[in-house]
Amino acid sequence: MSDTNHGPFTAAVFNKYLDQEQLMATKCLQCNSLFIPPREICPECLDQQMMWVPLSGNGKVAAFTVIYVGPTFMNTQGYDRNNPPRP
Amino acid sequence: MITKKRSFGRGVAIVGAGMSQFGAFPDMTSRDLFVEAFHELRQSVDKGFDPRDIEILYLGNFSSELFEGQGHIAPIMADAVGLVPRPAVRVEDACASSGVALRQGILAVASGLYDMVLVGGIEKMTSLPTTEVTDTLAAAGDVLYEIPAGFTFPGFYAAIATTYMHQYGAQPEHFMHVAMKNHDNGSKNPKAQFGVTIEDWMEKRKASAIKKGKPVPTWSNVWDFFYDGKANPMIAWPLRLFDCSPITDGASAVLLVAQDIATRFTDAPIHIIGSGQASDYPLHDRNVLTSITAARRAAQSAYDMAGVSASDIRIAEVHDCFTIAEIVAIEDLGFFKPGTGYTMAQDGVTALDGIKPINTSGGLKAKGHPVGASGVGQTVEIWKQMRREAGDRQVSGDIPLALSHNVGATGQTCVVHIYERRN
Repeated sequence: MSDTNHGPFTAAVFNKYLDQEQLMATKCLQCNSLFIPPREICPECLDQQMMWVPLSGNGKVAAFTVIYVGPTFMNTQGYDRNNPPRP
Repeated sequence: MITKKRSFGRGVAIVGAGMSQFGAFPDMTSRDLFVEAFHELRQSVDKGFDPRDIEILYLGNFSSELFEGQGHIAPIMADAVGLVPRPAVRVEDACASSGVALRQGILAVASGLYDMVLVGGIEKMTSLPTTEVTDTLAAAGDVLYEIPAGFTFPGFYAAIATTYMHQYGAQPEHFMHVAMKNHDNGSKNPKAQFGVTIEDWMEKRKASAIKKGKPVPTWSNVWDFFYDGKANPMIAWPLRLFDCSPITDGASAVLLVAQDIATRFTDAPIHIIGSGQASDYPLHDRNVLTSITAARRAAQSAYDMAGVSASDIRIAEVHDCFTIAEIVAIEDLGFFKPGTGYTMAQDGVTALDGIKPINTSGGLKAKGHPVGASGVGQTVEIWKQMRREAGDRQVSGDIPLALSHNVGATGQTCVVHIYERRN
């Protein structure tokens, strides 16, 4: 399934919009639930009619942490216990 | 969703259990460890049994491919304990792999298809450097949306911890009390990877420094140690090294039979009377972070099937991959109200001699966490406690009902079992 204006409900399309600094969600046309990241099938009502909708990009922080022992891909960029990534 | 009460087709009992030593064993492969667990299992069957009567193996394993470069590990483990040509099934649900393998074994007996089933778990983790272990474990998260953001497993549980702290007022010191309690229990478990209390650990570090002529730590109490950024470094704020379970090699195994033949093998079988399992979205996609919803659902299914409630449970082994995880677990299981679990270790409620002993084995924290073996490892402890074979860490009095709680990743999987001793 896809949205004729924006493309299929895939990570690739989601990431393409992120690269343009646009946060996109999928909306179920049956029950109006919003999902991010994208879903092809609505987990609330299992309907399969979805559409892409842009989000404002504003939200509330639900949780945070500072990771001192990072994954390899971040370590190789110079982050480590002495230089943790900071917001 | 269909939520009717479920029951087994017939009763299922444990008649034998064993585990390898948990720890770091450079000279042992997963085959050696599984054989070690199987040896202890064979010796644990009171009236003996013929291993040729085992009909199938269900094996929990998270990632032998990434840890050891060995895929298709179930028939290899079956071979190691002499079970070829019987079917061998690997079950993978991250750190809940062997808890789910146990459930599959139970269902196979309960269905009437098999009378005797071997359930095992194995993980050989220490061949890789820590950074690669961290990357391998991260594969149990959401690799599209969580891992690219830089999350690690300590990071996920740290996010749960900060949310919990914000909502309920817990402090990192409360988490450390969970670590101290579990190390106290682990010090009484000869199979544990860290079989010492934190106080003994501190003394050892001091003695080692004196011996090597290095500066001796000046800790005067456990809190000096706790705040020492070198000895107990931050891993993901607020979780420090001693909030995290270790990287472990280990194997575990239990022998299941149909209830109606259990007394052929022992006069003290442990009956499995409840089993529940649920899944959930990845952590980033949940509405609630201070509770693991799959654990609540799995527990409810298990309680409903067993016809018992949380207050009936005498002891529990819960999935304390991080200290905060034990706090969330004892609330999710209904032992304590939401937001009250964080004081229970500090207050001694969950200690060996407390009202509700939790993780008498030392938990994943002190006993060790060979991820694919941890679920069945919990069952081995329940078996020993219920049969009063737990040595120095034996809980006093009868244990008519016990529970195990095994979580995969951040709770995308949770499986709960309830055990009964009837005589």
